[in-house]
Amino acid sequence: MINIENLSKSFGKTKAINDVSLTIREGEVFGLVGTNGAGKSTLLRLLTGILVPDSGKIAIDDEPVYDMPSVKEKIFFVPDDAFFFQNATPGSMRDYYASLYPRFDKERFASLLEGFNLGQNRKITEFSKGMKKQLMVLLAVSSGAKYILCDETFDGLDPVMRQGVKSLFAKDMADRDLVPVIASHNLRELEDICDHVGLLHQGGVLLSEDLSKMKLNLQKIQVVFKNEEDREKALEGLNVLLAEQRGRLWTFTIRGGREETEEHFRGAEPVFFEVLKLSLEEIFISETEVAGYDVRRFILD
Amino acid sequence: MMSADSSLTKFIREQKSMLWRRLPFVALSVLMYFLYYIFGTVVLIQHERAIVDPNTALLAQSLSQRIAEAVSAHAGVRGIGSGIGFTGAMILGIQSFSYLYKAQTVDFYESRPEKRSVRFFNIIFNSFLIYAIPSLICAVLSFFIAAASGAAYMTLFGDIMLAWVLNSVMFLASYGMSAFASLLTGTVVTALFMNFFVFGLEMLVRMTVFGYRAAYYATFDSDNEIKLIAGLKSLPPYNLIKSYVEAKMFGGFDAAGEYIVKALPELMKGCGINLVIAVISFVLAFIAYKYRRAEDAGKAVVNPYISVFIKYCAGILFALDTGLLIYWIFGRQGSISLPAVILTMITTVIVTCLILEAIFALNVRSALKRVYDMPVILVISLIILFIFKMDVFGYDKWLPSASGVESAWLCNNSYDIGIDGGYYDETNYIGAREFAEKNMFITDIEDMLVIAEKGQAAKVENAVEYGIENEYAANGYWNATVGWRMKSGKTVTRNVAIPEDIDAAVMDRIVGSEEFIKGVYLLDDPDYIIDRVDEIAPGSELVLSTTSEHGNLTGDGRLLNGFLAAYTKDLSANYDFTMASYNVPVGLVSFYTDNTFVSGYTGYFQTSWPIYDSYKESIAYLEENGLWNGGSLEKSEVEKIVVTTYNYTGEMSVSDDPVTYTDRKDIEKIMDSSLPTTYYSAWGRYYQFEHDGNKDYSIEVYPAPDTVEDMEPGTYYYRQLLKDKELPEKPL
Repeated sequence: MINIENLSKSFGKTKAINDVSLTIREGEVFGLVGTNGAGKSTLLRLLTGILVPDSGKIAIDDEPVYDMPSVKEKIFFVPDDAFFFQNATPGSMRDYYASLYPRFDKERFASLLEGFNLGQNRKITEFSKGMKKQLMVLLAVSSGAKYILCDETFDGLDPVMRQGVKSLFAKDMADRDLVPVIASHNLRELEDICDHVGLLHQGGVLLSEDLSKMKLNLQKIQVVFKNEEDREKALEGLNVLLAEQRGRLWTFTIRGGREETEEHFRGAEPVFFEVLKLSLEEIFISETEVAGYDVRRFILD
Repeated sequence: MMSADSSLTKFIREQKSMLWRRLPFVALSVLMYFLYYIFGTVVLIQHERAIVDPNTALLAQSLSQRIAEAVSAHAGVRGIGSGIGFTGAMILGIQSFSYLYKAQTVDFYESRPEKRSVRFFNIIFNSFLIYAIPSLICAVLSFFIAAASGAAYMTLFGDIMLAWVLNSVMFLASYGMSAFASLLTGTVVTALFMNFFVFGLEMLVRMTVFGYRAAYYATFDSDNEIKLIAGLKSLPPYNLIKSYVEAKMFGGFDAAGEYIVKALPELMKGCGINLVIAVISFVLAFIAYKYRRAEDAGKAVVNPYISVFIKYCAGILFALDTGLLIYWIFGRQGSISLPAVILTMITTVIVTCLILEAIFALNVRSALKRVYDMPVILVISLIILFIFKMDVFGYDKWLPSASGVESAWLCNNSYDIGIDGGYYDETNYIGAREFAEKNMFITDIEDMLVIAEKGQAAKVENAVEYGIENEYAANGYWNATVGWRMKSGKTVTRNVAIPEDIDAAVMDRIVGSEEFIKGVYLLDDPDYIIDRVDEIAPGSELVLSTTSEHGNLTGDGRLLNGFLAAYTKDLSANYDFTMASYNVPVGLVSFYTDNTFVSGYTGYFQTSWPIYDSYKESIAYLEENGLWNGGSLEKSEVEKIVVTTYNYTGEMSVSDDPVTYTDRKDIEKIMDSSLPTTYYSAWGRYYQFEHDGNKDYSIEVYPAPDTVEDMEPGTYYYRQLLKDKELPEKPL
């Protein structure tokens, strides 16, 4: 488990991370969302022990990370713009990382390379940006590190590869309790992979919730009422986050349990009533707009 | 497949991996050392073989000895292979930690599961390997190449290995300094500047102080200060240059390795200093590394305090140096000098501050940051300027306390090669001043203080009157240098102008003392000269020659011992300030080697001794051996005198028609009123030759026939007219 308490980091006068507290639990995929400059990369670099916090604490499995090789062996950082040695090949990078990560699985790496169609002896300088990202993910997965911290890794991967990487993560989560932490500026990238999402904005955490919990607590209802009195009656006692009207068709986003909400509406005998599925994007819009933020401005393309 | 390795295996694997990744630097190191040691040795051997000419005396020296000498001077402790090490240290120092200059590489390396201290050590060790392996292999091979050519001397091997050890320590010191400098910066370009700053700061400070002392202190003795700068001192590369220069002083290769034994104390001193510097700089570099943060990548300088320090150092030094430059250009232009200097300093401070701030922020628009530093830097620079200009600390008036002085030396700067000074010592010629420094140990400090005080005061007065550059033009002074060997081990020197009215008794006590004479004349060890001749000009004969107005005589140089014995007696009996200042030498005795040049070698030796009329012992000894023919011309030996008068009008001089005197009375009067100028005395009162300031006289004395040996037709000697004396009326 990664536990972050009141973490702050400034670069000169700029507060990159401001009093952030988060918990990344085992068995879940943690998504870190935020605009460019929100502090995602800084947070990942702090978690990897590249940066030293100004204040606050990071505990990875209850141990500090900065300059702690035994802890760093549990972490593999996949940066947005990964570095490879001059004239390096996947094979030479494998050897390099194998010398650093004692649990590095060379055989698995070889089979993954084959699966992803990346030649072992090709020069990495000839790789596309997406191929380099794939290679880094394969190195990360093969390293045996418990925590793989990905910075904008899915940006630039085609859908097939993205699916492949997700499958890899899913397998390792099942096999060896891998904890992927995925930072992205785009919510849609994380929608179908993350279990828990933290939303960073201007160095602070706007929100950190389990997706399932958020989904259970939020309901999106489309409804057509007979008259105004029925609508008022149906909404009585409900926590309406958003309400939208198109003609006689109303769409409500409501905080509360599904059964309780359905009961309220059915009691008002509407002409039409349907419970819709909420996208991650909608969940975030709902949650953050309540807090006074127009999340669409900073987490959606 | 899992793997678990021991620390040592990990370390070795990491070193191999790093060497592979730093392949261009490994290749450069191999190439440079191959060229220097192996190619250089081969070329030297070929050269030595090529210059052996069966028709020259060089056959006496074996070829193997010559090869050993050449290879030793190249690859041994006297070689300059350390220069490659120094350059390599700087390149590797910058490259080693350049990963910290870019966020991409910082993320890559700093995310590795590796202790930072281990990474630091790995990098340092790896850099040393890049230097050490190629240099060691090539150095050893250079010996084997020499050995294969016949120079299989173990001394040569020891010489080369010792040089490698010394150079390695120097490499570590330079590398540590370079790494430290580079760790204070965040870009390669600023790292390069920082390296120049760190390695050049000492020299820049010393040169600035030297320049200002030379510009504003009348008694400043530049010779001593130049020696201090050249023989520097604390940091690489200067201490290295010093070791190299000093090792050169200890002679050539010999199979017994005497030259190494002689040089060893100095070399070890330099090595020890480098070792200390290496340790300190690695500690500093480690601290800088430990506290350096990933976010410093891309910054020009990581710490704002360091930026401020550099800004102040560079601003002040550049302002002072450009001011000095302007001073040297306009220095003698009176009133324009100071305003020009100050204006230049103001401009330099502004420009330097603007440029540095732009560099620190890597943004031209930041040039005006911290503008308030400009006036502060300018004020500090001006304060330093006025400290020198007004001699605030009393440099020109400084005199040691008698109790703090171990001994002193005094050198009349008029001593010249061949007259009253100038000898060969070891492999180099040393002048009168160096000879005094080594051999004159005056303990009469009280009298020396009197001379120094008067001399310094006169020097300052002359500088005020004539300008610091032209004060030598003042008449009536002996320009000299006083050296104080302090009990603290320090040597302090001052230039002085000893005035004509100085207490002659004080001067006599100093100049006439045995301590003074020992510091002027090479008397103690005549065998030294003989040995020296054998060493530097083997096979050549030492010749004794006397010259005077009666012509030249040459004889056997083996008379040296007898001559020196007589000369020493004369010096004890006659030589003092009063004698030397009111008399001029009447002849000169020289010892020199007849074979002055042998293919590939300049083995010339010469030393000379002035003979005054009162040196009866020497003259008698020379007469006994048929080597004295009378010194200066007698009145009766003069046939005619031709006098040309020069009239000065401003910068121009117009000569009258020469006047020839043949009348005996006129000749005797002119002879009585003048002194021969064939040989000067350093203490001669040349002011006596002063007369009407607008006139000068050329007096040519023609010897009578058969009075001078082997006289060429038309031979004449110059004489100088004495003060207050008059020429006879122009003959009709």
